[in-house]
Amino acid sequence: MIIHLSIDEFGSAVAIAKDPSLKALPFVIAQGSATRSLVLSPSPVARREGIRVGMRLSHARLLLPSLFVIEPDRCALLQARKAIEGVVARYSPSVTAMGTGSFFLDMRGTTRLFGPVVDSAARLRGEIHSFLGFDGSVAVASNTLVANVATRAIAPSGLASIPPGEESSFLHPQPVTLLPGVGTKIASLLHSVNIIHIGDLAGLDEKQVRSFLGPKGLELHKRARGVISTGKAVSTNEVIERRVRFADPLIEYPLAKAALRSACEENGFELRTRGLAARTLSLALQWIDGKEQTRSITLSNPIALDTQLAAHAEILLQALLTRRLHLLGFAFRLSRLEPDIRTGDLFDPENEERRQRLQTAVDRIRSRYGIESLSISGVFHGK
Amino acid sequence: MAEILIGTSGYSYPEWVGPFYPEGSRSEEFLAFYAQRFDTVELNFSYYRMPQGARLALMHQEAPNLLFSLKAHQSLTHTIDPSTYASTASTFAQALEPLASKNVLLAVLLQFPPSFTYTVDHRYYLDSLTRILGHLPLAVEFRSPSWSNKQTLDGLRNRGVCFVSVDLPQVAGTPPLLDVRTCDLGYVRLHGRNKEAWWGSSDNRRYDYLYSASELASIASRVAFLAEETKRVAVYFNNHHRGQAVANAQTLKTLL
Repeated sequence: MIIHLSIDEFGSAVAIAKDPSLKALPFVIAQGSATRSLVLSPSPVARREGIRVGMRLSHARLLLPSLFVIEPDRCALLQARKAIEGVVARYSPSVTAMGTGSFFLDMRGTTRLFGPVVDSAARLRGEIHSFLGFDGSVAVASNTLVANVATRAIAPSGLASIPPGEESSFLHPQPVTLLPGVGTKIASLLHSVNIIHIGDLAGLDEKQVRSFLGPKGLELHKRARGVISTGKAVSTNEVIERRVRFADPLIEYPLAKAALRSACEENGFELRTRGLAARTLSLALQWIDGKEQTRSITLSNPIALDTQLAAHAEILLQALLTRRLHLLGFAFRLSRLEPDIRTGDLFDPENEERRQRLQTAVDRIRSRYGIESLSISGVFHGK
Repeated sequence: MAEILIGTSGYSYPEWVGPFYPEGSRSEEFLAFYAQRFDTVELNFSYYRMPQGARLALMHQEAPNLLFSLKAHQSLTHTIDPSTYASTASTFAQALEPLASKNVLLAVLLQFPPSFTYTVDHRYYLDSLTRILGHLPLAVEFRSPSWSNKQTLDGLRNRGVCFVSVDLPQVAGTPPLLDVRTCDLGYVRLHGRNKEAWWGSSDNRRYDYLYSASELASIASRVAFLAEETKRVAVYFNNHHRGQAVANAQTLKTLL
């Protein structure tokens, strides 16, 4: 059995956990207060007033004039995530973090130790609330897909347990929008042909699915029938990007490399804080003659560690440094982001695990003292 | 934090004489004795026969501090006649007046059978029934898993009706366990977890279950969750066989 713990709108939930007086106030987490800024995480009060993730801040303010903005606090996010990881690790040795506020616990073999899984789920929800101040949804089901849909159905908070054998009868009456992978566009496409519930989609044959959703729709069709694909997780459309503009145009490779390493560290810190890993890395160099050159690499396995990011970024840099001209700056972008899934593996090389532990320790220091508190020596050497 | 009220589903069981009621107790003495130990009771007789206002007023006199929840008559939930249900509902509501006027009516429980599924007709019916009884505190328990969906929860929230949290064996054919706050009342029914006897057994065997200490600890945390953002939470043990409901209810009271 699987337990899914989901904390809705993690950014605002962390802010409320830090300052409970925010709970009754309309606020959003957003970067800056420029009109083009986007809402990253609305508070429960803001959500009730129609404010949604991805909405322009200017539009959100029109809807709710009393709305105020809180800057994202990456250190607090990381600390909160670590604290939750500490609690969930007591319930299961196999935990998969999906995004920032979402954790799947594999509860196989735990019944003898902890009793019925539903009781563990209830205690887990209680602990997360009493000790950390988070009001989350917890669901028990035989697989991750059903558990995920269940937490969405009861969001923002509650407990659900789907008995084995009742997966289809639970999934089918749910709105199709609860199915992972159905966003606004696909939902409106499905609604236009009167597919409102997950069961409506499950009832179609593959030919029908292919005709109006294309080949990618087959994956959704599988999910609607409660089938989960193993292997690659669904990637998001988000990107993480750092743009660097040098104070003076430069031509020295070591300096460009050091700046790139620093960007890797910043991107990597954000990536890990959000519980993600990147599959595609892109580097764009801006030359003094106005030209811009870009090169990308897509990896078979997503990566998240600073050392991994830096190694690939340097390969991109070397491939692009073919001109004897001054550089004005660069943009380093991570895309095809996926949940960072790293469960214990008996066959993991020991070094890999050590590197991971080192990275975790570094992140802990950075989250406490700031990103610049600790850097690899190349960054200082270059500077 | 809400007021948490713990009791049992029914109180008038001759088999409780000994385990709960003192030896030699007569049935007319049960209620007063029960009210000395619990804050609330869920009355089930109202499911089998239409309650009478005068009878309920007498019960209130016998136990003035006891809060009552009443299970709706079967003609409103199991044997629905489309041509008469509206007047039956009004009659039922009128009978509860002596309790409602004294502020001792905690909730009206609408418990629907597995055959009452999430169909358009049933949704219209539920909408209509909750309108007719809308002036009373309502709690709905579904036995069909098809109602365990987001639209139902949102619909109940919009109508200020409580979605009943149930605890029963996690076997195929039973609805999912859902603890979700839909209004300012929380309502929990604990039926026991007798997996082997849940299907195809008599009521006595089905509800023959004693919750363990660790199960009660987890139930306590579920009740505490419901109490976070509600005004009142009613908790009723229905594992009535051999007075196990009473034993579990008393233990849960010490945990909360």
